Amino acid sequence: MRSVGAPQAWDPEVIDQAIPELPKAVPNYNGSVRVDEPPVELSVRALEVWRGEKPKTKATGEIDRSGSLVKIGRVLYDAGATRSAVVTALAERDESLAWRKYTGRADADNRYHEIVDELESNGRNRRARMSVDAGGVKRDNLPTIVVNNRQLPEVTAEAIEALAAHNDPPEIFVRAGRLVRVREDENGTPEIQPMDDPHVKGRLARVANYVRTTEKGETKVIPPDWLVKDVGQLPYWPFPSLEAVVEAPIMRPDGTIFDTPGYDPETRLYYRPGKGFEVGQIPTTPTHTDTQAAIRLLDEAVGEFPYEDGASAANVLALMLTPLVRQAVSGPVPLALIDKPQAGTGGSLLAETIAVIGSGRTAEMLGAPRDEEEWRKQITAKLAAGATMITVDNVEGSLYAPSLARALTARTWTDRVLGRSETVTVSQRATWIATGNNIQLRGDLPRRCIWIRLDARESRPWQRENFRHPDLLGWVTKNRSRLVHALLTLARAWFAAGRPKAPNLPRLGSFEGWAETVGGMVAFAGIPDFLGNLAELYDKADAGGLEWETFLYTWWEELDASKPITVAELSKVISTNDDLRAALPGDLAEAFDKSAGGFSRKLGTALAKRAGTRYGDDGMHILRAGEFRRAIRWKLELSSTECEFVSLVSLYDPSARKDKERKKGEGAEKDSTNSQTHTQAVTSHGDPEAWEETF
Amino acid sequence: MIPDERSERTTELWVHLFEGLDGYLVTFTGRQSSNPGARPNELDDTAQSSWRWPEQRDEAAAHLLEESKAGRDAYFGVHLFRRRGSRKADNAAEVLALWVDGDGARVPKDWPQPTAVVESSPGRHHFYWRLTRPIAPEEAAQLNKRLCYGMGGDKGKWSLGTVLRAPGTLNYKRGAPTLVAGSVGA
Repeated sequence: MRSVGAPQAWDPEVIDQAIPELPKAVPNYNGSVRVDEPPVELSVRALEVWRGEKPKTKATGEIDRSGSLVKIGRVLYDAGATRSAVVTALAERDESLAWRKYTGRADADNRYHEIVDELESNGRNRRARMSVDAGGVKRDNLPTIVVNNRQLPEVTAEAIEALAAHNDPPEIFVRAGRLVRVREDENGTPEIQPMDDPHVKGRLARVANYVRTTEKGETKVIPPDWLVKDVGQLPYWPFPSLEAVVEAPIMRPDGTIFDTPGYDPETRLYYRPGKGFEVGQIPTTPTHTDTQAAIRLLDEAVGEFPYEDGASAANVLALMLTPLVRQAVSGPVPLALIDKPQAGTGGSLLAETIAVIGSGRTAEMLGAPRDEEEWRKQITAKLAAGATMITVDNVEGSLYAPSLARALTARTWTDRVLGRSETVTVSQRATWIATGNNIQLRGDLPRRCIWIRLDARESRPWQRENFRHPDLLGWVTKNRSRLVHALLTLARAWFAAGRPKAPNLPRLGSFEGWAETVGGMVAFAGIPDFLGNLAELYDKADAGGLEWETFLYTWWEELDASKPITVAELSKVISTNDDLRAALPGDLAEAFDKSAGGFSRKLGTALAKRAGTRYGDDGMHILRAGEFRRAIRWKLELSSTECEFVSLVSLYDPSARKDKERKKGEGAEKDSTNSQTHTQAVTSHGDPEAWEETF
Repeated sequence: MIPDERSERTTELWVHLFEGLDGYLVTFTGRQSSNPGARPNELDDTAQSSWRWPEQRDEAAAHLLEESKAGRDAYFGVHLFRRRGSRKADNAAEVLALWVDGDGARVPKDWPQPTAVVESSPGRHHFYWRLTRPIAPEEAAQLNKRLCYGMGGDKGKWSLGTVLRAPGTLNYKRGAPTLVAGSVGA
């Protein structure tokens, strides 16, 4: 360290007196010294560029001199300056602003001409002439469009040009082949609104003056209806396309975070945070401490739901991440099925909690329609409105919906517009949730779902008490920015670590992209067992729940069901008990009619498959009760009220991380690009067991 | 492992430059481009963050050191900003210290001497002049420019929104990384 022998601070006046003035040719930064006038009239913004106040800068903040000269050339050229005027002006600016990129060089003149060559090759951008905002307050500065004695395409082209000139930042978008705008309802909730003729007319009126010319002079008019209709029915508009409006920062495909309110051309999303909602900076390379803190906070939000198994808890974390990283996922996203044995277990609350975190409000609700036509209409309506989270709430019994199954694997959704003879195609990027009691999936749905199973294992789960946050939704709403921060921290940590693959990831056909991305994030956060209950979900899908409930209750009533029994013994009893035989589920009844041996085998398999599954209000379930002479014995039990709930924190498995890191270490030799990141991840995480001590 | 002392070097400079001010501190990091035709200091995968000053001071310093440790060049905005996110001049907050990237040049002996110096790489220094009172950003830019032109510093680094290397981090610009060293006060 070198010592600096100087006062701790200087009076600015002293510095001002002590240092030399700028060389004569260098103008003051704030323009207080006379700046040469531009060769053409410029708007306020363009003048700032001319004065060198808006130079193009490099990533490090350094002025990009050649880029800045092009920028000045652009505003002059757009304002109508001739080639010679631009070249002369560039030479003057290069010297006056002390950039001296080409000043004094023998080829300077050629360089300035090359800039004009480039400008000419891109054409004039007349938008730059406009300086007023969309409100159209300064009407004198608006372009004038003559609407009589002209061809329609000519007038429309000028109107479109005026609209485009006032669309920075973008307010008009194209979505599903229509002009749309983003507006807020009376509650401040943003929505995508198709622009009907009155909207287009209002907008046109704010971006140009319309006149009719006669021999007596000009008459001001409002935009004529024929112009409005023509603008609205063009096959193409020069406006950005809009996919959805989001109310939380999101991760882009390249792993960066889009958190600046407004439109993002890369993701085609419009970020409109709610009032006062501000997510802190997401660490570029989150540390182990960061991810620990994130998991702890998220656990406060969703850790007290009675997950039946670890996979359900891990799947919840995946579901929470999904809307925030949706743009980083290539391909479709499965439906999250939140089901439970009985009402009051918290399925709807969980869905609502996740929606509030992801979107700032409850999800778009879809009552499970009875018929296919209604499914289709509702899906179209929700997607056309730009819904990013959709919940099919309180599904009763079975869920069979080919349209929903189709939507889940589609990247775009096409359907007829209600009340019109036209079709609409919208992008399908929503996150879907379904809630209900013991939902039976039918058709193609099982393989398009992930399962979050809740089971409070008590008769009145809604009477549970002593929650950390009794008003959970209130707490989540209040802490939403922290929760979003936590989720994006987990996402970013995975990205920064080189996007490691989750170990033993089950294959989820059609959703591999989602499973790899979100599953990787969940596993990297130290939460194991993501999608670990997929096989059970498939098994459950083919189960005749009601039939089994009837059979088990009959067994309970007819036998001493708490007494363990082997399959052979049970088969024998069934053969002599008419009630039990009549209550057999369909496939078993069929096997019973065929042969005794086949029936016993099938009965054994079926009992094993359904062991632990709760049936009926009492939570009747089959339990393995040891062996007798190498034969498994089974018994029935009603639901136990004692249980340990699974939370994200309790699931943390340090050995999973170690295993993962070891695997990454093996891969590091092959991929030198990732090796540095890998080292970072390992060292920053330190001793995983230390984490456990923090809980 | 980077010792904690490095973090202290960063915060020591920041306190010198921003003490008593309120606003957002900006950090900026990036990785030296691996493209074959890349110029020295051409950065890829850049990331900019805003931190509440002074509340998130230590967090910001830790972040820069983490980034540096991960092989990324680490910079900070040499003045505070009024709002988070933007590093544009119109977002600049009041300025308490002037700066010049010497780029090999030295401060003339008869000038007010800098109150802090950061050696960004061997023989190259950033100079800071802490002021007795905060001044308007435009005024600061004007003085910076005069300082820069007067002593022959890097003419691309006098303006508002400039970021310079943070002491305690590593400079990866030329081959083997070198420590960015700094000193404050008498």
